[in-house]
Amino acid sequence: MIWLHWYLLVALLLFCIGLYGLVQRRSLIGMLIALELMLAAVSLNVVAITSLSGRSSSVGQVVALILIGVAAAEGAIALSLFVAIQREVQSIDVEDLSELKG
Amino acid sequence: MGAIHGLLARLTGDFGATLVLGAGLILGFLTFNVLFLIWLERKVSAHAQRRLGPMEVGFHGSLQTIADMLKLLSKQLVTPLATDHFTFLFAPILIFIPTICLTSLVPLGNAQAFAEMPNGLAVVVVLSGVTVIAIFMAGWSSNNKYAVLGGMRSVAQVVAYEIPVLLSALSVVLIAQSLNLHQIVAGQHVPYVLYEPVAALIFFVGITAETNRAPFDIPEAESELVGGFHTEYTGMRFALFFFAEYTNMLVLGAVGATLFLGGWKGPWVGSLPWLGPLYILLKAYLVVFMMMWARWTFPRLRFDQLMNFAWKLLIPVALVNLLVTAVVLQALPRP
Amino acid sequence: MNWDAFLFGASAALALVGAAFAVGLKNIFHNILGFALALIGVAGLFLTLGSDFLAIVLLLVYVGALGIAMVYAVMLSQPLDTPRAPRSLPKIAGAALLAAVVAMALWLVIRGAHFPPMEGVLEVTPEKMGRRLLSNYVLAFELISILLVIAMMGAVMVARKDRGGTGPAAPKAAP
Repeated sequence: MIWLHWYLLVALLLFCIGLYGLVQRRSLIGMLIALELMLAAVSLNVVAITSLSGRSSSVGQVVALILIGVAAAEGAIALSLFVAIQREVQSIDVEDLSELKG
Repeated sequence: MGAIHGLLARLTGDFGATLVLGAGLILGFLTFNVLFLIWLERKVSAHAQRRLGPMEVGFHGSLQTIADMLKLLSKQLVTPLATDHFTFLFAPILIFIPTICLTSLVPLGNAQAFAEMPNGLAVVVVLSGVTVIAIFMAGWSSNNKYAVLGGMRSVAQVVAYEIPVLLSALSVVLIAQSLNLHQIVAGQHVPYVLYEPVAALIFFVGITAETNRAPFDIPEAESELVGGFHTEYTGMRFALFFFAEYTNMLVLGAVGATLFLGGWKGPWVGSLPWLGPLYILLKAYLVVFMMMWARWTFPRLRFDQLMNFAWKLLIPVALVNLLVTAVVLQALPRP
Repeated sequence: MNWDAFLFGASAALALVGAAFAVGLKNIFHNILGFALALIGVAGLFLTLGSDFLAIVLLLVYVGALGIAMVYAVMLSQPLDTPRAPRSLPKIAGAALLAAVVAMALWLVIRGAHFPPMEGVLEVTPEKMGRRLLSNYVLAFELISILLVIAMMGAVMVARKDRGGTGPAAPKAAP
């Protein structure tokens, strides 16, 4: 195993912990946390690959920066939606959001 | 100093010795500083209200804070049953860590600081934001209505005022062309407060609010929220929050002095390098004194006024100031 | 001792332990603290990769802004001592199985991939990144700024109490 593999392994584990949380959690905020963990794992992956293999360039850094920006925008929208949902349904448990279920 | 460093280096290696010695020096100094600042605050407030303040213990009450500290140390530590124990106990410690890291970044002289970083200013911004998590932990884990409300207010305020602080610091970065605190100081032949008076003012207001001090001390508003986020803390744990507030004042004051008042620079500092740390300290204390002065001069703002002030006044002004700085810098011929 | 290896190990441990806290603990507030811990670990990993500025931005955005916003949402939406519903065992097992399968598959891909060795030294300064953002990647940069503005306006609109008549109207604040 080369050095890069260790980074990829950590990112992989982080991603899968996030995936596990996303599927298993019922609180919307808990799911958002899991989702953000997955995004962080992705940016770790990108940075690790561009810094440890291939031609040296700062592309990975720029991509990671943009990823962080997208994550922030997503978090802002999601959290404001949660607050609105809480106000309407008095719960942020996904299993209580069954209004459209005929 | 060199001898102690050498002795430690034999035990732990060179890096470890610097780490231990630096942390020890910073902690020792900060403890002394808090004792001094609390005394100073009591004196400033007293004289602002035409009183004398503490006069009994020591010369002009100079040992009063030590007496108070001893009292707090001997008090019983009460941990309410319904708290979230780990978070509750960890919060007062955590609130200290970012502040200590911040202290080590301030340049004390020509190429002297405990830690030098190429992106020092960005690190300063991050660290001063991380303190908020400790405030949240304290407020939430107390499981007390008032503590939670105080914590929420405190965080809303710190987050709001962080933005103008960041923007006004950025206008200095534009002039200095660097995020490195050393280079920012090195570039200041004239203190930047003369180039950027608006940014300096916004920065000052911002750090006053970030340390939760009057006229922005709504989070701790005694009349409505008991003690704010540290309502449930007693004895030495309460004292730690107090410690953190005063330490933060000094450190943010030192950062402000570095950005706008020329840092360690001053007359004769070229021939006598030990004047550098002295100058930065004097300037930091000047900023702190101004914060105290403001506290006993202005009435407290209401919470909605407080938020409006940040979002509707400070941030737009800081943005326009940044834009003007950028345009002027582009228009000027490059040196 | 190898300093780099130590820093890597510590950061990786911090990231993974934090992530485990973030999804495993029952208390949503502890989840957020675990999330912050995990992100501090990831920032440490970025430091070992030599991208200091990125580590700082990561901490600033995730821990400083997103973590705080999450705690805020928790405080606005979940009372502190609501009883937490028990989790169903089959669901947990299914989620764990899914994650394990995905992990295995991705690991096989990583093992099979060929990475060319590094040429030259990577040196990333904020200045270089800024130049890149405003030259090669200016479209992405502009798009992300538009996205952020829209997200901000949308967040304010969605979370507002009185949206044009729908929902309970908030009492007008005194001017």
